[in-house]
Amino acid sequence: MRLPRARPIPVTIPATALADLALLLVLYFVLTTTYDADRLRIEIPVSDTATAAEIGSPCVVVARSEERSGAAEGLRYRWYDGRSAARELGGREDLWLEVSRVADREPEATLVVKAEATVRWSQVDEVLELMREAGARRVLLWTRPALASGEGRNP
Amino acid sequence: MADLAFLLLVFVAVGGIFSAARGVAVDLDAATREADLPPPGTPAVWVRVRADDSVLVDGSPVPRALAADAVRGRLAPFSEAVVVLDAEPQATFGALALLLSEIVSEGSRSDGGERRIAIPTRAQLEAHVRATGRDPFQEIR
Repeated sequence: MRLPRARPIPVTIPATALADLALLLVLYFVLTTTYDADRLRIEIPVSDTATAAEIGSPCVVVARSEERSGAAEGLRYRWYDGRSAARELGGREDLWLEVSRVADREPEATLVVKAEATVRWSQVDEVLELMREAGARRVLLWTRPALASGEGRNP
Repeated sequence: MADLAFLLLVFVAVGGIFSAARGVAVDLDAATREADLPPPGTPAVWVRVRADDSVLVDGSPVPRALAADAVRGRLAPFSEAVVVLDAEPQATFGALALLLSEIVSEGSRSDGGERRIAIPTRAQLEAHVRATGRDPFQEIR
């Protein structure tokens, strides 16, 4: 009796399973990654107004800080120029410098202000005035839409 | 079919993640021109959010919950009236943005056009008061 000679099993990587796994990983990362001008998580105001800025527009983040300057509430500023990663600014002088650079390069550019909802209006107003003095013309105050549950509505 | 569904899923997910910033547009160029605020005698509604969350509509105190209706009532006779929105220094940015949203949704013109809403900076308001000799946001007692 002649038995067939055992053929060696070819060594291969199961690419089908690998592709499935890779696709699942891609899907997982796509769904869990968010693109934002800044990684600082702040609560921005609710509003249904829908004017949009271009993706990648320069953005200043105005958030409350734990530090206080005298009687005034402390603020921290972060800057995203649409090209490189967002970074912390030392103060209003730095903000003026960054805004003036953008205004000089692109006079008609829209600058986005991402301010925390609980920041006093006077402080947002001061930032707007500083940006105007630095040469900014168009500003978008970043808000988020109300949820269907009626979030942010008055009773 | 599954491939197509997967591609659509990825497309929708990526499209949602890279959405643009949306919000309230402010023309800072206008802040240098006092004349952009409506002069006395022209149809306008002056709305100010106060620090205690109440609202002044043309100088009259209005409960916060009724503010948008009050603005709509004053806008009704004038198709071209401008809404000028401001907030006291101690009021929050969130309160102003929310009221703006309500005015935009409640204050549509009868012809379907968009209502002009101005959000002046402090400097622009001070220039307006100097030029006209009166503070349009002053409370009427």
